[in-house]
Amino acid sequence: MRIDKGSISGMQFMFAMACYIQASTLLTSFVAAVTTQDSWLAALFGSLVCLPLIWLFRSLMVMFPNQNLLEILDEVYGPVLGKILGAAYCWFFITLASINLTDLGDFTKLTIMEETPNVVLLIMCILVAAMAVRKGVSLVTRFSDFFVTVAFSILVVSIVLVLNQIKPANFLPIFDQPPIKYIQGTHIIATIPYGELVVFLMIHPNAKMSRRDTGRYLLWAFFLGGFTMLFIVLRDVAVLGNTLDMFTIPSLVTLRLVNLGMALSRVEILFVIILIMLLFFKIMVLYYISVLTVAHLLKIKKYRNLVLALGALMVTYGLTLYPCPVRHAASAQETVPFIWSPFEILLPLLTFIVAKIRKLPVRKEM
Amino acid sequence: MITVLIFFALILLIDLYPIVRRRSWRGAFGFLLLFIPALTLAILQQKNIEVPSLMLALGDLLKSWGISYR
Amino acid sequence: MRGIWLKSAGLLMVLLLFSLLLAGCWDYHELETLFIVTGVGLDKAAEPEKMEIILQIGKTRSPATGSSDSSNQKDSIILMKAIKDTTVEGIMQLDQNSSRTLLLHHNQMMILGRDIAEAGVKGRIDGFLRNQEMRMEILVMVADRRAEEILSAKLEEEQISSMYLYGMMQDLYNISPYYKIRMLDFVSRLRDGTSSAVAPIVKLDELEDKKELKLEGMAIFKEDKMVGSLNDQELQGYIWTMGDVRQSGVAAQSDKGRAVFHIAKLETKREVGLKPEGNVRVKLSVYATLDVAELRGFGEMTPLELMPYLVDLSEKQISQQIMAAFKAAQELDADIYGFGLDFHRLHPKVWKTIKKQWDQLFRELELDVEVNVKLPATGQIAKSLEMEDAKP
Repeated sequence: MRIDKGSISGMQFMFAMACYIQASTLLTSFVAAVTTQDSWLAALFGSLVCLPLIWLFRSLMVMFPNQNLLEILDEVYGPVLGKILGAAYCWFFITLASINLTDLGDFTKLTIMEETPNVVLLIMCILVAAMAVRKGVSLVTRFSDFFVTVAFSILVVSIVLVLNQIKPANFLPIFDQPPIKYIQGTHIIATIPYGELVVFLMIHPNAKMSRRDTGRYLLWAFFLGGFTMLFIVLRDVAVLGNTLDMFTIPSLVTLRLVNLGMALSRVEILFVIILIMLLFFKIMVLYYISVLTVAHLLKIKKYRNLVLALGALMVTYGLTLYPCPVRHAASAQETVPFIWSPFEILLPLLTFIVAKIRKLPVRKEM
Repeated sequence: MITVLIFFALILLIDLYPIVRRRSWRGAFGFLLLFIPALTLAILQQKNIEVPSLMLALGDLLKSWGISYR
Repeated sequence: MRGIWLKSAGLLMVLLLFSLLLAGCWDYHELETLFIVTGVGLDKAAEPEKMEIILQIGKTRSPATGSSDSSNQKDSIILMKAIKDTTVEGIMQLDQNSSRTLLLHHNQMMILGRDIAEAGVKGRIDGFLRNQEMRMEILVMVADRRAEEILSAKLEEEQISSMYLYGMMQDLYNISPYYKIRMLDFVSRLRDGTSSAVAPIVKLDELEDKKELKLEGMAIFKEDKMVGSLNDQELQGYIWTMGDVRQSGVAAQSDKGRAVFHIAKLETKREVGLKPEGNVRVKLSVYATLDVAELRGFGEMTPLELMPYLVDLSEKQISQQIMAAFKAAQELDADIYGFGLDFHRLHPKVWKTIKKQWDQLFRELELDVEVNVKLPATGQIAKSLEMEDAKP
């Protein structure tokens, strides 16, 4: 059963994934607080550790080219267990969407609209996203290539603009912290941006791509996103040095330091708008996927009528999740990697193994 | 409070009405499954009743099992 | 048919709701309702825990009245003052008691009064770091006496003294980045643990007919308290030690005459190491390219003899000034160079064992200065008027 019959090209799919990773780079502060000047190492290790994970996602996509995650679960574990796991994933997607939504609210509040109530910002964001979600997958992913290009250009421009403030000595000393910190940093990077790519297992049937292309597109998306993240962390460490772990959003502080004489200073508002745009894209994707999951779980053909209700739930649920950004950061550093791991790493791996053992998918005779 | 209720009433009007017209009871069930918790949470928040955070509760649970950094 | 009617009714309601929301815009700021803060000063108040918070506000002038008549010169700034425990309390009080909203986004600097710098600043600057309106690029300076007199100074060149200071620091930044201490640099040093923070000192000179602001050395902080300062000569030595100097000059005096050199480029390399007997040794190599800018004396020397002599002279002068700055820092136990940080970065394992005793180690630290001067240019003339063989 395919609920959304819209389809996108493989390129579109790739850009959507790349953009999704790029949007998460705002959250590098979680790692920065743990591994300080070695955060770029955590980003690097995290990326390397995730290569097998990407391969795992690719294998699942290739094995089940016409089934989304819920259908895969149904087929592999049977209808009962499959439904239970599906419900768990449903909770995971909605929670993820809500967390990112509140992130957007906090970020906007912190940067441009200090006095505007959080809930108004969230509702505005949800209303715009709802319009896209109602139109289906092709509209949700349509502007991803544009966003990726903009994010890349911004990265390059921002690096050039802070070149005069880069101090290479800030990277030293390397490996100065206890090993557990590196493991923690790597784990955070692996689960918070990369592992979340599991959401794309929900829409890969909508992407028109051949077996061979699947792997290629996934890898390209991974490289595009990963490079952005690595360079953002490198830039922040090089500029901020030992104060990196002090700030709630290091990237923002770095961008605010841009100062080339009187003319080119205080331009961070441009960066902020683009970061908000990226985060909006991520929320839109998660929103769409949550709606799709709910519809799929309850076998509702017309998912459009669920959109606004789920949006309302996301806003209200999101507001209960974290009382303040400090608790959010602490939880993201200490426990969230463990909560996300089953959904992002263990279950896909288990599914893959069980499918191999049970020799699934059974080829249907034509 | 009134703004919140208007918002939710609008959602009802926009989405539940077509569902009911279609007599898609499954759809109505799904809709209410999302709508009722959202409305409850919204009213609770309006009344300033603190709703415990699921993420923090899960985190505390994991911590009590010793699964946590630090 | 009914569907369309329903839809348009729904749309209308949504639009009405939007108009309700959008009319109440929360974050609007209109220019004529703002006071743009250009400088913040902190001074010690009479009561021990409190401090005086001084805000300098640059007045927005419309072009029509901005003509050069001197009548509006005296009111181009507004100075506001509050006495409170913390900066933010002070700013809030001032905000409430003024006709306009204070806008801190364009604040250029934080000036610490000498008393408050000497009493310790860690507990005083949290508001500057936390508040989203404040930037990490604002300059940190120490006033020679009180911050208030610096901020209230009306200068000939620039009516807003903090803009004047900003321009001055920008000029110095072109000489060496180490002159300009941003909030980020200051905090980075404070957080580092072993390095000592520095901040330029501004002094107000009251001449008969006008006032002048000038840079008068650099304040040295130990932990977060100002413990002493470098004078102008020592400051130059400190700047040379840090390297990356692109302009400025060296003046050297010997019994044969006086020579002034222009620094085209001065770079340094330092190696921090542990000696077998347990104390730290820093080998500092200075590579400088100088030009001869002016000579007086040296009459009895030929140009051929003169050049090696000048190289030697300038090397000695640079080395002497560097050592003077170092001695001053050592007497205050203040590692203003970040030698400890270098050590930490290069030998992280050894560092853990010696970190505790760094104060002691810095007191006994040996600094070997090796200066290599290149003197490729003599300016427009090769011989000076006073030279023997210049006479026909």
